Amino acid sequence: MEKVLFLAHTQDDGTLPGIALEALAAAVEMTAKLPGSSLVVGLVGKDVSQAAEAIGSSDCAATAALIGQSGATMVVAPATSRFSRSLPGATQRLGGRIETHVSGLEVVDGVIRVQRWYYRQRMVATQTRVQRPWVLVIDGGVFAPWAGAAAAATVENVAVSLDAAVVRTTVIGVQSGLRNRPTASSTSRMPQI
Amino acid sequence: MNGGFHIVVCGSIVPDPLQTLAPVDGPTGPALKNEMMLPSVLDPWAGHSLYEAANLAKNIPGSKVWLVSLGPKAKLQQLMMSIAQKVTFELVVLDGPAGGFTDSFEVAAALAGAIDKIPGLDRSRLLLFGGCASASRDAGVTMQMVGEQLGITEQFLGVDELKVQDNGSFRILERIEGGQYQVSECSGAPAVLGWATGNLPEPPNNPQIGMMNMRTVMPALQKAVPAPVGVGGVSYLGVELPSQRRETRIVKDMSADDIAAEIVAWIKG
Repeated sequence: MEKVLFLAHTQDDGTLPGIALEALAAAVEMTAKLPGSSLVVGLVGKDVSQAAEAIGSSDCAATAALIGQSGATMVVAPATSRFSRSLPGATQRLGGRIETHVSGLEVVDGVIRVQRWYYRQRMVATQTRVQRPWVLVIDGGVFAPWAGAAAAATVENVAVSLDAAVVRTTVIGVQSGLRNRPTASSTSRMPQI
Repeated sequence: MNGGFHIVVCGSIVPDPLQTLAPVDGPTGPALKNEMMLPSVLDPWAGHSLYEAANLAKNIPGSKVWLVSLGPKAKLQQLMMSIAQKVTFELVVLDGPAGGFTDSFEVAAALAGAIDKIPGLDRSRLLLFGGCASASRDAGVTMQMVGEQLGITEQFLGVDELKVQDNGSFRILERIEGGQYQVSECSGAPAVLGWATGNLPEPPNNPQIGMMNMRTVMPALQKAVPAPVGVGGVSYLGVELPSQRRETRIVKDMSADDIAAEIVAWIKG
């Protein structure tokens, strides 16, 4: 029996990014196919914890706290830059395992099977794991965004204790891309051995 | 910046991107057909991080660069013939598989263990560099896991620029959604930086640097520590090449307006 945690973070305007709704659809679908499993939603954002907003190390602490507090065995999250940065560390902290760039998800005979690409999308693997918690970071465009009806939810705040001295990074803001940046195609050709 | 940084770069080999890759079943899990025979290159993202590390060390006196590589010793030795001529570093070798089907958790544990044992490494000045993802597993998780095991909480992924201020703090540009950058300021080392392309070109070969590096590279290869990393807890149910799909329709004598109208209709769905 699995306890599935759908994990998402809010954007600056307090809404969920579109890709989060796709991951939610994956979490809902997976929970429905796993008999006896339950779905919990974990959100990281200003309303949950001011310190958890847009700072890498606090994102890691916040997600680790949510996964730990929920007792989730499976975690489904969208592949945003924030989660790509913070979820691997949180998973390591909890002794779990993580699969990123998940491009397919199915449940066969109660076993969760994940599909992801290797060698820069040159071969595709179907795989599973027994270790828990198992974090699945879902790529965009794999699932149709969840479009269910809104309903009232019971919200529980999970406190994240962050020592101010430990957090040494401040996010200044966002800027547009650099001009004349080398691209992978022009620079990735390394000397052959 | 007093004393400079101690920069540890994690980087290994990947098959040359121009090679044809085919999966086969190996004794311990999936592998590549003729994997040991395939020409290899330094993992591109890790290569960028190595060049950024060398540039940073050159500009900040007292800094030093280590390259920690997990891969087959013989192939790493071949790689060093070219990479060691480009930038100055001290090599730390973990002799083990470098394929994409190894478990990132085990790889991170091996790398963290090796970094922990580097003699003379000052953890308070440590900058842990690596690629934002490998060109083999392409998971983008290993650097964060290594950082977590070493107790480094300040982590940055998809970094294209690192500017060190006079007080030792640094300003970082990280790639985020929409082709934009997140701008952060970190008060100083230790930190983990998973690099994207950065801003530097590939340095030219310099035989003098090669000669200098080889004094430490060959002994490092000789005392390579075995790192028996494997697939970990992953059960691979199948690995295959994607089937080719080509839905082509050849139409003759169609006007440009009709073609445009069909494309617009397709875009609109």
